Amino acid sequence: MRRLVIPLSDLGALARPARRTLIVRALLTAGLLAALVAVYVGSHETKKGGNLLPSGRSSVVAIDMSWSVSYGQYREIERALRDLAGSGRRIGLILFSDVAYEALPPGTPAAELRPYLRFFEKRGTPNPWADAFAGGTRIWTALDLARRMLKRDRIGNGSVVLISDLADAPNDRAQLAQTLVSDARDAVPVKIVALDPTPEDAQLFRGALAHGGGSVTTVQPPSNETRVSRASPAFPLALVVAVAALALLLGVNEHALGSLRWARGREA
Amino acid sequence: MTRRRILLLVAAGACVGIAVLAALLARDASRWQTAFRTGDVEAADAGLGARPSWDARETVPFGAARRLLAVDDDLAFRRAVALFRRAHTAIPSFNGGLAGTALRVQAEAALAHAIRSDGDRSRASVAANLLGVLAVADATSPGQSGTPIERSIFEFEDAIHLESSNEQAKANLELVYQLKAPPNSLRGEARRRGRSHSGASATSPGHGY
Repeated sequence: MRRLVIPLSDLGALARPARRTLIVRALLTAGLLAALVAVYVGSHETKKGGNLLPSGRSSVVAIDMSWSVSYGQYREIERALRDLAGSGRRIGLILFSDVAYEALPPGTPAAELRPYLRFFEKRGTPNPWADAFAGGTRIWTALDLARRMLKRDRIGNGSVVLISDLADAPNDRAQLAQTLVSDARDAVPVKIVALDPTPEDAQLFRGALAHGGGSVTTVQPPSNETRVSRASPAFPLALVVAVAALALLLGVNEHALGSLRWARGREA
Repeated sequence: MTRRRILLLVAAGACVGIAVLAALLARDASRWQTAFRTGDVEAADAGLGARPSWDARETVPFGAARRLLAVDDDLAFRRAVALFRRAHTAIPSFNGGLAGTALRVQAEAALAHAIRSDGDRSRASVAANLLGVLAVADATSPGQSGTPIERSIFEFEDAIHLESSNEQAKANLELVYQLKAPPNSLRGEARRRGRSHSGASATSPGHGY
């Protein structure tokens, strides 16, 4: 079917505005695509809960409750827990020191972490597990329990998030190796949030996970101890800016480049 | 400028872009070839301090050439074997020390990944055999809270299942059985008389050691 067109005798005179319109359209298209990508990335980041939880996987979070961590790094743990609690995801929770304890089974809404926050609000707040934990750190017990929990609940795409200072007992390294080998066999990635670790400990885990088994993110304590910023659900500024840009570009497109329309004039 | 001309210009620009990308990819592919050769030579160095990188320094971002060439499993295997060489020494003080145990943790994790990700069963079998050797070191190393030696048996058997012609894994498995159960023990006696289906006979029929 042929489109109805208005024949023009001076088409050549419109060549320049037509070219300008084409360029503006191309720029607007690129801008719209970029804004769409930014909106997608922004919404994706917001759902991930501060990047702590690997996306698309069912995670078990293991928190080191040894004395060095719960006493010295309580603020970082509280911040991480608050971030996780606001993620809207489903998780499992392990508390460990020299033994590991399943606090929440996999698939629990992350908001259930909120009751645990009070144990990390002040230095040395007593918690119900303090007597059961002897104070040492045996990371392999937590990793082993996490893998067994995922297997027990038949979670195929599971992952483990370990929050610890990585001050592991040196004579447990054979068991640590065995656990990491089992994790690699079962394709369970391990994401480590290392709370102010020594360079040697960080290097050990970074080297062990460097071949596709996970990652190590180091968190340093804030330099100014007196300034405590209460962690609150972050305002998704980037997402709002991206959405506003998208709306603005769509408006410009409609206003400047919409199809030319005219109606029959009103007859008196 | 007519619309047709604009379209031709855009198409020409796209073709030039694709040609540049293809040339850069070809250069990266060639760099990978060189990187493998250089890395292998470095890895063959008998010195324990040798740390081959197999790094190609690609120009095209996101590891495009590496993905196109599908060399990830080759890299994983080579890096795991290089780590094994650094972790496995005949020096007991090193094996039991902090540096030795740390290297073993890293090497074992790397070998486990190589076994899982390698599509080449014979190479995965080699990696499983090396993992078994490190498991023996873990079980016998002084100062470590013991891991059972059965773990190494599992790894050697895995190596034999992956590649029935892996003679080294069969020999290692027999050695571990000797280590674990002396011939005058009940189990050793059963094995000696052929009443126990274990050791290298875990392989497919017709492929025993």
